Amino acid sequence: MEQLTKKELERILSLYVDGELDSAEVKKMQDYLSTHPQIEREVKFLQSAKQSLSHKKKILPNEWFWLRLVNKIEIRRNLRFPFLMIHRSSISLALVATVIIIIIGGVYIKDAPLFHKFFKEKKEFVQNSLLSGNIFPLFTNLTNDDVLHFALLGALPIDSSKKTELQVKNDENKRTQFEIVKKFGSQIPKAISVSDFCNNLGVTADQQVIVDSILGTYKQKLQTAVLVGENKEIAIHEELGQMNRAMLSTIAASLEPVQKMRFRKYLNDLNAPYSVIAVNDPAIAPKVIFSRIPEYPRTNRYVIVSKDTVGIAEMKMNVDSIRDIAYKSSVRLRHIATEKMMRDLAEIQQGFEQGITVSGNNRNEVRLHSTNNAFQINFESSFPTNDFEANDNVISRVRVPVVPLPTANEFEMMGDSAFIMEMHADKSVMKILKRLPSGEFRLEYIDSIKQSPRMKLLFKSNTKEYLFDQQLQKHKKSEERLIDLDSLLREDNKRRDVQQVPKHQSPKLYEM
Amino acid sequence: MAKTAVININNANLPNNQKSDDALIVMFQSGDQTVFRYLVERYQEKIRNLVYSIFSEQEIVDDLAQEIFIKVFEALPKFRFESSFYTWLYRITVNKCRDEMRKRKVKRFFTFHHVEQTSKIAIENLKPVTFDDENIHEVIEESLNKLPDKYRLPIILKDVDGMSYDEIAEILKCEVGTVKSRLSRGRTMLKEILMPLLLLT
Repeated sequence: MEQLTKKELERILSLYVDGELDSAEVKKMQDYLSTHPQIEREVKFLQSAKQSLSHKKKILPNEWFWLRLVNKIEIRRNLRFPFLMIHRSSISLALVATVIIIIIGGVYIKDAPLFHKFFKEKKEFVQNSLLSGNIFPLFTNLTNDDVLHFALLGALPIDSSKKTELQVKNDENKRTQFEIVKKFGSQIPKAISVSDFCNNLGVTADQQVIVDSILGTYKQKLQTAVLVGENKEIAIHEELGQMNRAMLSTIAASLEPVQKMRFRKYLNDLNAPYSVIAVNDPAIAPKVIFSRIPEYPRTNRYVIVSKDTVGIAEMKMNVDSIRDIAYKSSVRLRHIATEKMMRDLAEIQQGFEQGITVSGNNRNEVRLHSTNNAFQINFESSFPTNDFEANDNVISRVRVPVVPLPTANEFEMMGDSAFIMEMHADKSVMKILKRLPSGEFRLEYIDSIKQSPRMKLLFKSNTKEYLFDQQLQKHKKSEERLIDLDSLLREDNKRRDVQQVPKHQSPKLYEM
Repeated sequence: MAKTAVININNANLPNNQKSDDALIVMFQSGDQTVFRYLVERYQEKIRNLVYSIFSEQEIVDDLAQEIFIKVFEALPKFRFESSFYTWLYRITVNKCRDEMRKRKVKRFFTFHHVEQTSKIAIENLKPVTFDDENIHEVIEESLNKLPDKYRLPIILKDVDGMSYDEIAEILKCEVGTVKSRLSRGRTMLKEILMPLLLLT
């Protein structure tokens, strides 16, 4: 072994590290290493590096991988034109085909008014059916700890394991983002409790009562801020986007300067999206604080996302009734059956004025955006800001990004029309713009979005309506006699008959 | 000369997700494209992680991995069982990654002299570490990225994915001897970059 060149030695060392030498060679190598400490150190280095690489950090699994892959495969199939396979002798055939296409095109242009008529009918159907079924509040059993968590981090847990959250972000430019996001492993936030929070800030017992009261007041508001519709819709009150910040400001206003300093440090340590300013201001009296908490909701505007569309819409509804149901549900949630809640909610339909007014100005633009683990809704908030709540005590440390229109290249890479789209809600027409691989925009039928399996799945996994559906099916099977449930099912069937949406021609790959 | 194909499809009674790769491919080639899902689910994380190891960029992992599986989907009807599906899939992955590198004009081919220069820069920028440090993975990853692809890929396949010399040779379409010498050379270069950082501790 002493006779080996440096290169040969390196080669044998590499084989030794990989365990590829036979026993005699291993023995020989071990003897050699025992007399050459420098080489032995190099071997140890190689072994450690190899071991370290074998434990290389893995990236997070992507549960949407298959679905996106299927979409891409489907798009590739649709885009594959057989033109290149045409033989020279078929050129005349191709010419005939071209003439036919031109004729069809002419007919299409001639029938353009029909297209608009069809689109108008679709638009009316969407407007009339949006949130026309039963609705129920999503957050019925919040604790004060949950509310504090929302105030500090802008996140409300959607499922019991707290792995899925509704995250709210807002910045100084009134840009707001709602994001339904899945958390994995270390991303799942640690529990925050009101008592720990108060201990950290060194608040007195009297002040803790005030903090509890503030949280309790906002808890009621949160309970009616997110509504889930029977027809797989979610409506988020636009003010939810500012409510966490308002709550932090209110809590900060009740604290003395030294406590405000601690509050600021606490937020920093927590890596919260907000920071406390005006730390030298004295505490405001509880009476004044509670008089300045506004009555929510101040507007009737909700960001609505359904299977078909997205937009900001004005809805008049009896919030007190919903709040009442939410309160009752939170008290009896463990015992109450889902169908009972549905009955209650059917009753409060009395207070829900059907019909949506979709307001139309440029500020109402809402954009959807999807990442691997998150589903984002971006919009500009336009509700009136007032009081001390929004600006005086708390500043936002985040900047909500303006989601840009996808470039042609990105579109090509993602290849999914359901999420590469921009929707505008205005008075005249519900437009869905779809970017084609060629880079052009095309007005898209609403039905084609409705048929997107990916959109459906997102809602199934990210909201509670999936459970809602399961409960419905369960009771349908057990033939339990429930007056309103029956009528609900009848209505649902009627709606389906009326709707007559052509069934999606699923490729075989979907049938799993 | 074409290799003899040995197909393991003796598991007809098992549910699809437990069937062998070969059995699923036979089903696919017989017209049942639904089984493609099981192949994807079986290997998607391995492929995503391999792509991540090669590029160290999380943003492109899913897009590239999907392109790879689309390629597999298109080529699977012509799969002749001359190698295992696993190595065939890895070969497609490596080729696709090479294409991507070419597209991005990422040229990592540099001489050993350049590596020495780079390592000096690395020493200035990085703090001394030991193998017990938490950030040792990042330091090794950073150092590995500085190697030319022909040395980097065998190390990734061997040390990260735990493949045998034969499998690596099949994936990279080269002789086993070449794999051994590239591994040896790559490790020496890696050592040249890393050693100064570790000697300082």
